[in-house]
Amino acid sequence: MLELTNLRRKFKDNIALDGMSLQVERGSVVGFLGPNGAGKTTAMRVALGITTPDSGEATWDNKKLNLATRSRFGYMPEERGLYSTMSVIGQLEFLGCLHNMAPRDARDKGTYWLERLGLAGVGSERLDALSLGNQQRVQLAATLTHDPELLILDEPFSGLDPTGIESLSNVLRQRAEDGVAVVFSSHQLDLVEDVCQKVVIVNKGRDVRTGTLADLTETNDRIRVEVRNPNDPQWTHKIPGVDVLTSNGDSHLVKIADASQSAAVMNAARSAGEVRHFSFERLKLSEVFRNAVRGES
Amino acid sequence: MRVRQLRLIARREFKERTKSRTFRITMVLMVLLVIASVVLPVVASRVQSEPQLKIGVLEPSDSAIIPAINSIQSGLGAQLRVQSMPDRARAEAALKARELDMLVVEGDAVYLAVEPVSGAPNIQADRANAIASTVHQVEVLREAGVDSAEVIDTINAPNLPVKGLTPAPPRNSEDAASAYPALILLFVFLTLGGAFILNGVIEEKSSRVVEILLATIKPSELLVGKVIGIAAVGLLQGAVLVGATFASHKATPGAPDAGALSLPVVVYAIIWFMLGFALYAGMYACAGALVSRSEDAQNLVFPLQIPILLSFFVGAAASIGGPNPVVTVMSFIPFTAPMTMLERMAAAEVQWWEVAISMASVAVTAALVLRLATVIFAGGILRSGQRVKLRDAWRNPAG
Repeated sequence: MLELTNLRRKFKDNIALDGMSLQVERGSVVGFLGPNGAGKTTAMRVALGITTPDSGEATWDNKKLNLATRSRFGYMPEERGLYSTMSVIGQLEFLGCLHNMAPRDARDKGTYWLERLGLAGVGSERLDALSLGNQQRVQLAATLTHDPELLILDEPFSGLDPTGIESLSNVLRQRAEDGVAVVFSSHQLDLVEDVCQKVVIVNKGRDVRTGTLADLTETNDRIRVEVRNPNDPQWTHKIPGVDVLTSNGDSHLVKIADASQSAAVMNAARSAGEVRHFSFERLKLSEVFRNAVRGES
Repeated sequence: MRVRQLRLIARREFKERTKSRTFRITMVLMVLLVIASVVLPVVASRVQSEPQLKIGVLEPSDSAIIPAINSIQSGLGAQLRVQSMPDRARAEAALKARELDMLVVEGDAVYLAVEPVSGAPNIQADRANAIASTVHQVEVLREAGVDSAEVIDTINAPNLPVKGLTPAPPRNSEDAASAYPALILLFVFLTLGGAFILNGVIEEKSSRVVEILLATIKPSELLVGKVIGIAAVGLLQGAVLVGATFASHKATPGAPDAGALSLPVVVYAIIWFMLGFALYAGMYACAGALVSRSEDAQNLVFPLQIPILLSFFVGAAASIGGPNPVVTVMSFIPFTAPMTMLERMAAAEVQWWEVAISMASVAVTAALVLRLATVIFAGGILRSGQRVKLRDAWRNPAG
């Protein structure tokens, strides 16, 4: 497990990390969310040893990080970086070797990932001969070639077309199933909801909400109810202590003061007509994000 | 520092640089240039023999004048054809028609077809002056009553020797001259190598690939690996060019030995290239780490080029002009030592301990510079955008 604990880092007058903590378990995909400048990239760089924190601790499987452990990590920076004039397979081999692979293994594994990501046959081409989307796939292949135990991906979905997004999502899920710890930052919250089990929301250098998607989006004060052909179209407005948030035809989203009022809503719905749907409504991740960030500011 | 990582970085640098088309084309052009510089002068000297100088002497009253002019032929660097002219009008007409190159009028002047511009270098005017001086000597000697045979002997008598009160320092002039092409090679490779380092660092920084590299290796490993790889490229280039020089000398009968590379000088140049490159490369890498674009690097690089340029010009002047106290001092200053000490070593005017002190000073300074460079490199390499201040890079070494 990757554990970043109480990280602090200041650049001149800018506080990038102000006590940030993060945990990424093996076999899980963690979404690392936050507005621009929240400290996500700096935290990732600390995990990779690129940036040294002023204080705090970074461990992998309860041991302090060092170059040997970091060589088992895979990193995809936000501003993609590869050698533009080098051949695709040449750089996969080079980067694989830097991660302690034998040259032949790095070539074979690099070729495997290129094929897997839909880039079969481009190995001998120079990187700058490929389209930007394909360059991004090569970047992903470079991150995966050495079979990392931890994947740290900074905005991996940006710039990908729908096919690329699907392909990357599948790869991340599969890697996690194989026991790899995966953490990625993204502003595409629907993708985070789709791929991650756990989310960490950070703002101003601190982690402000952490939990599983289910926990973070769960509510007990919002009910989605649908009554077919109600005898009174205004039935929802007549339940005492209940606010109607949205109404769309027969479907209504209501806010209750506490869980005990759910029975009152159910009774009112039954009285109004045929109940087609009744459930507690989950929050959207974007709402959780906004609330967390607003609460902080 | 891990040897495996150093080797990987160095090998990539070497492989990528040497397989680029620009590198191959540059190498071919440089080899052609070397061959041409050896072969062309030989060919030219065969095609073009010494120029012929046609001199008319107007009715010489003195029979010693024509032999006297002929006697200074070797000093004029031309084959002389001296003839007596019957009258002035025909002589001037011949000069105007370029049938003559010069006309000597006894007791008057030496005429050329066009009056030479005063102060401007003109080999024909120099020859005319030498002839005028000889004719004047003949006139003075004859007036003094010296007979013709003695006049020629006097004119051709050896000059007074020029001597020093203390003996000249030991100096192998041929090897000193052979330092000149070695200096050019050293200058080219130090400058080219520095440019390779600078551009390589900027490329890695601007493409952000450095972020991936620094996740697996230390900044010092990246820096030193890069320096080793590019030094190897420089040595390969040097080996090819030196090989081309020796081969073209061997294959060209009549190629002059003076100014050619000698084996000891090549060995000295290799040693000084490695020491000098270690010293300058760290500074070039720092400059690259502080900027994000090549354009911004120019201002930073200029101060680094000053000692290289200065030591090249001073060393080159000394290789032609002889020992010089400025060169001696510069050969102990680490930033100017590589080229100036190479020149002094080639001229065999140094003691072994002088070389040892000079090399040690460069090696120690290079180690210090590389150490400082690693800190600045690490502090600057991850910062994109505007130029990073040296102080900021120094204070925040880890990004």
